[in-house]
Amino acid sequence: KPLAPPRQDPELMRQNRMKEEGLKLIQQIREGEKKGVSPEEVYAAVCISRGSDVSPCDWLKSELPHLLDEICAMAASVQRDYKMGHSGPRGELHNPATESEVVQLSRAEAKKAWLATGGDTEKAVQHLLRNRHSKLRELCSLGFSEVSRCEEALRLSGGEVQGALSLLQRPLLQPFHQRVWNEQLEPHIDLKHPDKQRMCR
Amino acid sequence: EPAEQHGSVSLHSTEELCVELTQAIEAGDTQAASQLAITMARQQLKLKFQLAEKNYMDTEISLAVAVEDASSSCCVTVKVFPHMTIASLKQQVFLEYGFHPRVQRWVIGQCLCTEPRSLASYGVRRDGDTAFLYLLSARQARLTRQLCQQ
Amino acid sequence: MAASEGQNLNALKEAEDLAQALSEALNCGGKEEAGRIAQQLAELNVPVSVRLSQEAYSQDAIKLKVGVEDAQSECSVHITMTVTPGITISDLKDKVNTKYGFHPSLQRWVIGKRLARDPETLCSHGVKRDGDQAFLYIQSAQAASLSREQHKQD
Repeated sequence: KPLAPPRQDPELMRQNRMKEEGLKLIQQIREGEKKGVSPEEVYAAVCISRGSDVSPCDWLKSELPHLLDEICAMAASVQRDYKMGHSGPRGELHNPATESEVVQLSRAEAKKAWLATGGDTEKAVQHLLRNRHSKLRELCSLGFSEVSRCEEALRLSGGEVQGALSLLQRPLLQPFHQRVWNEQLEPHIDLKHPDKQRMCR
Repeated sequence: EPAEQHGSVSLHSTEELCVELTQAIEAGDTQAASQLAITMARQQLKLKFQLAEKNYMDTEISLAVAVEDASSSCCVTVKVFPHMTIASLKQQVFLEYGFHPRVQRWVIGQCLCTEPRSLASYGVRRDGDTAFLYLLSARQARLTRQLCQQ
Repeated sequence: MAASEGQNLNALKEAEDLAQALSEALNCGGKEEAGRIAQQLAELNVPVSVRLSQEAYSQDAIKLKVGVEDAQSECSVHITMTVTPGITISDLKDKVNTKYGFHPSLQRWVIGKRLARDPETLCSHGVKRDGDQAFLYIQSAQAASLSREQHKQD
């Protein structure tokens, strides 16, 4: 519908194309928002399904879960390769006893990685492993150095450090729970306690 | 033919390399970092390196929490946002560790914290900052099991 | 506390020196050295940002046409912003936040057929002269927090 000027100015054409393409993506993002899908998800879906005429939202619903499983599987096999070649680049964290197990990565983590890389499957795999590695290192730096326990906690928390942390730390706090409900009196302990700073009242 | 001309396409991939190197270094992925740096050195890019200042207000940090009650103490780590209020911190600790908000008293620095204020307002801003969580007994907090279940 | 503060400062100083050395190695093409320093830097595990230096971009300010949109809008509202093509999307978001009060987390920038990411520059998306068009999509705060919630649940 825009009346092209008789002599086609390449600059003008470039600017028009920029505008039309932009508007098209905006429209897709708008539809996505109405269905509760984030712009990043829409865009990654658009990129990957380019050429097909499936709408990005439909694609996310029907195809994404499979793709995420695939990403997890790819990551797991990369990890296995690392472990086979005895001193993988990430070797230092994997203690030999756990090397036989393949770590379970969650769809949630895969999705996060996939979105962060703008829908690039291969980079997503790398991202996924890297994130998992740095989560393990974070847990380790917080005093949980037993990799297999950390892996298990991360598996249960869907890869969230916070969730894993609370799983790992809950046992430490168990005695406190008992004492909270303890019926015994406990009035003058504050006075005996050497650390006078702790109640600042 | 794409809307971008050649120059901006290669610029795009160069920037992509910068992003990847940034991520690799931040994540401590030494192998990837070194490979990327080698690739980039080959292209002799004019680069600027900066240590990014983290905006701690919006970043999740690890708060060191010394949990205490009348008889003992123990240290845990809780992931928090500095902008969150003490009230929501109490809620979070309740959800994660099951201590009812009524038995929790938070002490940061010299202050006994009040619920509407943010962690940041008590000076919490980065990984490793310390807070104390004093747990009252249920009796002292006038907490009953029944109340707890609500 | 004081001791750890001191350690932090030391690590920071070390990282700064390494970053400086890495810039130099990259700029003059010292491959092995660049690889080695990048590795050391990665071991420190510090937040860094690697950017092309400003020389790579044109310093001339241009007038960028920005179509502002949201889920409800029927047609875009147009504004014009004066920018240099080397500006990153995250700087652009800050600029819009200061000037017009939309929090960066609600802004999505679309240029051509791409959704631009924070560390990318306008220039790398082919923006280079007056009248080039970008779109700013404003997410509703509700949608933004909804999709954040969903991420957590997934």
